[in-house]
Amino acid sequence: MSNTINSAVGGKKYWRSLDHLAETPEFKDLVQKEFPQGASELTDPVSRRKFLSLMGASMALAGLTSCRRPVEKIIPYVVKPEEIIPGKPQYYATNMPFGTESFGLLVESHEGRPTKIEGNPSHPTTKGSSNVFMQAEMLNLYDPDRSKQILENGMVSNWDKYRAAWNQEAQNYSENGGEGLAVLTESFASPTLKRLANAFLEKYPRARWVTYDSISDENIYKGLMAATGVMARPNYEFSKASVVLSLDADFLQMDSNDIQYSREFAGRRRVRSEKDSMNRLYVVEGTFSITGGMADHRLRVQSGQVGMFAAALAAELKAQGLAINAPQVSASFDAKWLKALAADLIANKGQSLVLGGRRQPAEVHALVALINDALLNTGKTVSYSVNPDAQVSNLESLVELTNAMNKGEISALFMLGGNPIYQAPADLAFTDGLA
Amino acid sequence: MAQIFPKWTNKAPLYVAIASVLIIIITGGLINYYASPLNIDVGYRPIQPVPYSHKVHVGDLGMDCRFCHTGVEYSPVAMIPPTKTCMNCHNMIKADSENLKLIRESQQNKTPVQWVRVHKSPDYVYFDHSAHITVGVGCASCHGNISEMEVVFQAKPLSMGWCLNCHRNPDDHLRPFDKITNMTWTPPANQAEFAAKQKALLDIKAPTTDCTGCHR
Repeated sequence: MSNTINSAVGGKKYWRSLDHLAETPEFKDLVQKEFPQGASELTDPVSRRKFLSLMGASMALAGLTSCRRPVEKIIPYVVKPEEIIPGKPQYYATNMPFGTESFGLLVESHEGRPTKIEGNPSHPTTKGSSNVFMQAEMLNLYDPDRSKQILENGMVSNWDKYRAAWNQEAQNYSENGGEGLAVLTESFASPTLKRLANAFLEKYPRARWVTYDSISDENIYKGLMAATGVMARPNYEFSKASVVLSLDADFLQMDSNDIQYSREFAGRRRVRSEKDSMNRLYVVEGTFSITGGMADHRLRVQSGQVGMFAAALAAELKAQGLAINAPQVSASFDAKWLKALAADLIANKGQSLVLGGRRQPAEVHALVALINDALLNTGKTVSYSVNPDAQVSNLESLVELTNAMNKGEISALFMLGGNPIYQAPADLAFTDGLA
Repeated sequence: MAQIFPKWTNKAPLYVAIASVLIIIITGGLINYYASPLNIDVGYRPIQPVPYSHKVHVGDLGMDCRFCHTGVEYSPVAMIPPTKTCMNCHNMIKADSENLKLIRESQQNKTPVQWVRVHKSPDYVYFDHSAHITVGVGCASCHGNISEMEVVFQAKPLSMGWCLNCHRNPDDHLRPFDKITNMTWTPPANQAEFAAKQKALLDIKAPTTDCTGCHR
């Protein structure tokens, strides 16, 4: 790598940023701006002296002005809202949809301005606890990028103009059944939105409804679809699990429903009397996570090899006498580790739990469901439920939409939330389709 | 050879030492007095945008403080009343008064009146009106006799020492609950007896003098 900055000097080359190393135009520009126009005047001896004397004088005067108390205003309401007592925070119980999950929140609000989000102690999902996403949601409320009004080509518009424009369009789409019309949303489980989506598709039967999240439980739903034939999601009961095996699942911090799972998992780690016992956690993962840090036994495996590990585990369980339809694999994992794990799982049949992370492909989740079933865990530590209102993320539908957009088949696209230009896979060329 | 310094210079270091000690003590004393809240803040009487007279409303008409400052029993802040509170009466009484022009404009345009703050505790001090009112400390203990003020001014220094004086010995400032907003109440002869009874009734121990009581 050539480094022209220090090319005249031999020996080690030092740089302060990647931009500096690459000598980008932005960096050169920044170096120029470090000494902006007019600042060079300070190096001139005469004006420098003048500058200092002026500064000295203003400092002296500043000292005098501070003797006077600054005038501070109190601005009351014109008409006080009946339920607000100034100085007293109000707490609102609300829900935060997050993927196909929903968290119960308590939002603290001062004179109409929300200031803090915590879990709602009376809500079964949070019971007063919160996670990083809930805490960060506060900033979302004050996001300067949030549009506060209707914009039309970047200019402020209003609802009436929008309605007028859309009514004209809607006329055409009613006639052709919504050909060329598409809606892109994030995944959701809202009954209201689902009802509206259904009504929309009833009115425009040829329109596309596309759901996409860059990070979602899509693979889990797909895996269970393969295993059970329905779009089900797993619900884990950590309170009943004595042995837990996590295959790349960070259920203590990042996965759906992490608040409830953390609480139940921690509940089984608490030893209050001599009769209590602790659960045992095995983690197989390719990266450092909170869950891995909590593990009693952690096996470092490449993320891409986790599926192979699950297959090897199924084979080992079969070898140890469990009735399981295990695929044949030839993989070299730590045999001692695998043997001990399989023996522990079999010894705790019906009280063990195997779970796969959302990063893992659908096949892993299908295999995990199979292992859980063979270990008689289904209905005990893991159960499956179908939410008819859940609209699950679907990458294929986004691919189809992008292809249609690039072919010019889409004439109107509604994006309800999400940021596909940023989130969509780069090789999809979603941005080109928008143009 | 003549002496370069006269003889009195032998004692010069002593004089300089005494003088500098005196100067330090005197300057310290002057700053302590003239830069204190007692000297700087007491009597602060800013001109308010609306010439509202507490003397007329409280002194002459006998209105209770809590008629307008409704938050005082429930909230850390007593609350400056909203425009609506003024207009509840003044759309009937003196509805055309020149003095109320700003209030009427505020009501019409939905723009709040910008009152000037008179009593201010620094941002690093937590003060709760309701905590004081509900244990029987009267308004006048901190705000002075508002019922005689044509324009409200700061009557007490609101300095830390002043706060602590009362926190260390609150007995003289506890009143019966029906006298909280009374501006002319004076402690009766058996005040010590009453204070002891009141403290037992409310189960209040001595008010906090810990740093964290106010500097939270």
